[in-house]
Amino acid sequence: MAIIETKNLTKYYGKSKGIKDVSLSVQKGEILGFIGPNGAGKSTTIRILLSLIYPTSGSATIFGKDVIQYGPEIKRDIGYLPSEVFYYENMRVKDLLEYSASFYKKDCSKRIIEISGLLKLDLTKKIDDLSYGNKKKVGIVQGLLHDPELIMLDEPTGGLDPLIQKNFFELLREESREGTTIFFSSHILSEVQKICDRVAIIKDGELINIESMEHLIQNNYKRIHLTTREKAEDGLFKLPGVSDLSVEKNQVSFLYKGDVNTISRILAQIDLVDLIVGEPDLEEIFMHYYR
Amino acid sequence: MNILRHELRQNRNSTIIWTVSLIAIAGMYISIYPSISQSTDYSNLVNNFPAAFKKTFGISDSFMTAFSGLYAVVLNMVLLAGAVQAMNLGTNITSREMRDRTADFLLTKPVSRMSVLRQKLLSVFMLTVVTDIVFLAVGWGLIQALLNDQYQFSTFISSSLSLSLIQIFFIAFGILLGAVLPRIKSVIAVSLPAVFGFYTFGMLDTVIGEEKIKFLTPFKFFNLNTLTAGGGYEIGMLAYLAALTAGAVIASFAIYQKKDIRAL
Repeated sequence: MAIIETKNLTKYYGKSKGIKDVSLSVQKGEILGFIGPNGAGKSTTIRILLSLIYPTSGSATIFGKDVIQYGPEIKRDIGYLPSEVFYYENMRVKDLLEYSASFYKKDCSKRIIEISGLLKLDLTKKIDDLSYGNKKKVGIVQGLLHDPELIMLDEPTGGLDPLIQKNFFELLREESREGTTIFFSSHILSEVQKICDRVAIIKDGELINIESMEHLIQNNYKRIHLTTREKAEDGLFKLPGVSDLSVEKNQVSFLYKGDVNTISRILAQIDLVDLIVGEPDLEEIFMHYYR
Repeated sequence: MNILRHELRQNRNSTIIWTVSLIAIAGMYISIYPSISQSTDYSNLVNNFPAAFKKTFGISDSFMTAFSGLYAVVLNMVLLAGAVQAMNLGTNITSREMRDRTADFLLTKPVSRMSVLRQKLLSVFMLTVVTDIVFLAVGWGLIQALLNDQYQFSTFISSSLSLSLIQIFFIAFGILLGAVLPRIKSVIAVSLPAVFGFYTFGMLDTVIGEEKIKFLTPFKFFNLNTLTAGGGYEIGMLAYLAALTAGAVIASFAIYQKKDIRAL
């Protein structure tokens, strides 16, 4: 059974499109990266899943239950970290975390100490006095203190220093190993690349691709650079699977997705000075989708 | 009931301040009553106030001759302040978490929106009851200390209950505004105009007519001069108040349940 399943999820804010026909499923124990630029519909999707907003059409289930009908019940096992954290004035970190814990019918005190220790968060401070990064840590602790089965992260790492980020990712990996499912939304590709099993790419409110990270980076896409002896004809490269093509004098560069034999036959026709076939980073693949 | 506890704590200080203010307003007037009631100069002064001024402050002909007249003026002001307090509390129920951007925190917890509103409403109700009880106790204490038995306890209680009644209306009205308006940047910017609007509107009674206006502003639901002189409430108006309140609360709950909590 899928932990998250959405079917043709659509949300319009008045006339402007939030997301359209988003269908995806996330399996147990998986870390799904959800990437797209700001305004692509990442937060809209997450907010529908958390029943903060209501879809215009389509449906979504978490743990096999409809997110609207069973919202409160589902949320017992969800931990959510919003992209921007705001908490009640005049509360100490400890009070806020205890308030957060009071919503779950279990003792969370041990976990609070564990996680805040790992993130080096001072529990006695007033939240108002914390820096942005430290507030974010409060967000992480409140999202994880009840050992949720599903963790939803909406651009979680902003403001965290690299060391803490590393600890945080380690924490997520550990949760994942124990079977926790993680939905990781981000526009920072390198962090998605570090941690996710699969990536869903969303653009202008529409899901344009879901692939495994391995598949996305290693098996399919090649970044090919050619240096030709004579000026290259760009017509030669206009074939399916080629994108981000640039031809300048005798320099040719493009992304290729498809059968390597096809491209090697084409390359064989050209008088080459140099050939570099590399793995594109996610950034490049991403850029290709957003051109 | 964790939200209830949290809400009580969040509103504790402001409730103390409001309670003290209500008592200060009433206390000031009650304490000068013994001296002004014996002064003919003061009596002449008040009698020469323009009629419109007298009406604005609820000053009746019995203002100088009986405590009930003065207490009507006191209540008039206490009601105004109490209404602002109630409206702030009410509006906050449905708007504060969004304004302070804590809605994402609260509404992603395993709790239904209905339960959130119920607990918040209960907390506001409790805070208002506490305010009113303290007000009644201190007010009666002052009257006892300064007026030695000139005023009946039952009349005092019955007339002072108008404070709670008007607060109930404004809590409900506040909840409704908080639920309907997309985003309230400042509660006081909504509550002050609303309360003073209703109050000022109540002065148009000669234009609109006594019988009509009493349905249009809560400040005319009951006549303070009648109440402080020992008269009772009109059952019909109490039923009207109850119906309006229930309607506003039910509508607010329905709207809030379906409201999109937009990202910021």
